[in-house]
Amino acid sequence: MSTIRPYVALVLAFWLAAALQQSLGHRVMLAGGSFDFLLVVALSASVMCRPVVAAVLGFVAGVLLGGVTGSDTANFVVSRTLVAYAAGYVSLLDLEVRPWYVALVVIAGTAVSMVLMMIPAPPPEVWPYLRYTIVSAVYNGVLAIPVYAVLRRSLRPKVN
Amino acid sequence: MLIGLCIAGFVLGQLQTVANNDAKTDFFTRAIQSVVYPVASTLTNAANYGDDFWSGVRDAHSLRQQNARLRAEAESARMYQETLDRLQRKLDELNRMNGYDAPGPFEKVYAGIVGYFPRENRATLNKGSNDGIKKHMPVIAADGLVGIVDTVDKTRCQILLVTSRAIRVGVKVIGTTDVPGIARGETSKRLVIDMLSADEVHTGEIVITSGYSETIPAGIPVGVVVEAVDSPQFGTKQVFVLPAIKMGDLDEVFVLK
Repeated sequence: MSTIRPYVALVLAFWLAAALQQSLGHRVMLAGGSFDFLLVVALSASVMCRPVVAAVLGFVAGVLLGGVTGSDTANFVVSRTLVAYAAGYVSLLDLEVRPWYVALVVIAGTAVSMVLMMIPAPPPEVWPYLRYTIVSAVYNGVLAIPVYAVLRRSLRPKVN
Repeated sequence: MLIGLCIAGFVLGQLQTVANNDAKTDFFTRAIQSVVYPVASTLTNAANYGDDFWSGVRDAHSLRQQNARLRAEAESARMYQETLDRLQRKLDELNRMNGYDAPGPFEKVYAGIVGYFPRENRATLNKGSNDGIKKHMPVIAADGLVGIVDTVDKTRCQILLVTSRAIRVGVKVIGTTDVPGIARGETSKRLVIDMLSADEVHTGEIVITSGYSETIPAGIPVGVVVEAVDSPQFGTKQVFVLPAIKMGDLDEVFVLK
């Protein structure tokens, strides 16, 4: 039972995040930024997983986001997979993960993934896009703190 | 592993692009949306409800002002419509009056009502002996008999309304058989006709002047039967009649001279 629980928790978390992304993603715009619920879940879980598992989580987040938005699946998958893979290295570090570490990881991960998204499809105006990236990264970082708290209770022991 | 996932992502993206180019949705997108949609739809509804609630709270003051303005506009529109309806009724009445042909030797004299005394069942008209008005002449409006001239001045006259107890008018109830009778006022809103029990009179039947008079021509509507009460022990029947005219609505009448 205890081995299934983390997977069930992750499925539920991704499912809810995808629903939130579809229903609220475009609606919650604050100061020009918005939440990426799927990326927050993927990165918050990734810091508790080995890099390879984290990459799978990033892959799932990318596929779900591509499915919800109906476009750009390849870009979403690649950017999220790479960022989550990198976030997975946090679990290998010999340190006690605190919520604000996770917030920093999510902020950095959001920023990197959005910069990666720029490469295949450069935006017409770079500065507004970067501003949107920074604001959204901060929002995701803040959102990651409660999400990480919830996921940590569900995923311990680590999904290996 | 990492490269495999990226390649899988490219493949999925390619499938999605191909499907999009054909104006279709690929299998993965469709599957994801069908799984996510029920929850997303519920969340969207909740978010819409929340938006409505907060916009209601935020805009309460302006909404209240808007509501008050709309109420005022609706009220003025209602009053405007009432005025229009009243004017239309008056126009219709004047048209019908114009279209009324005085019978036989009678001639129409238009008069305005300048005074109305409901308790006394009297009204004052702005025409008098200078216009050929004399006592006992019938006064008529588009809907029917208004009353009878009672007193005459040079420029004015006073009439007894058809609902006055002081006048008697020869009438006929138009039903399966025409039943004659004498109508008199009972209250300011009702007339009564005394008839024999054997007379067949029913509610809703029309009452008109009988013409058995030197001054009041036949066929002028007087009212409609609203009640018929039998008194078998006396062998009589009282027929109550609602007048055809409404004095409160009248401004203009004509006198038949």
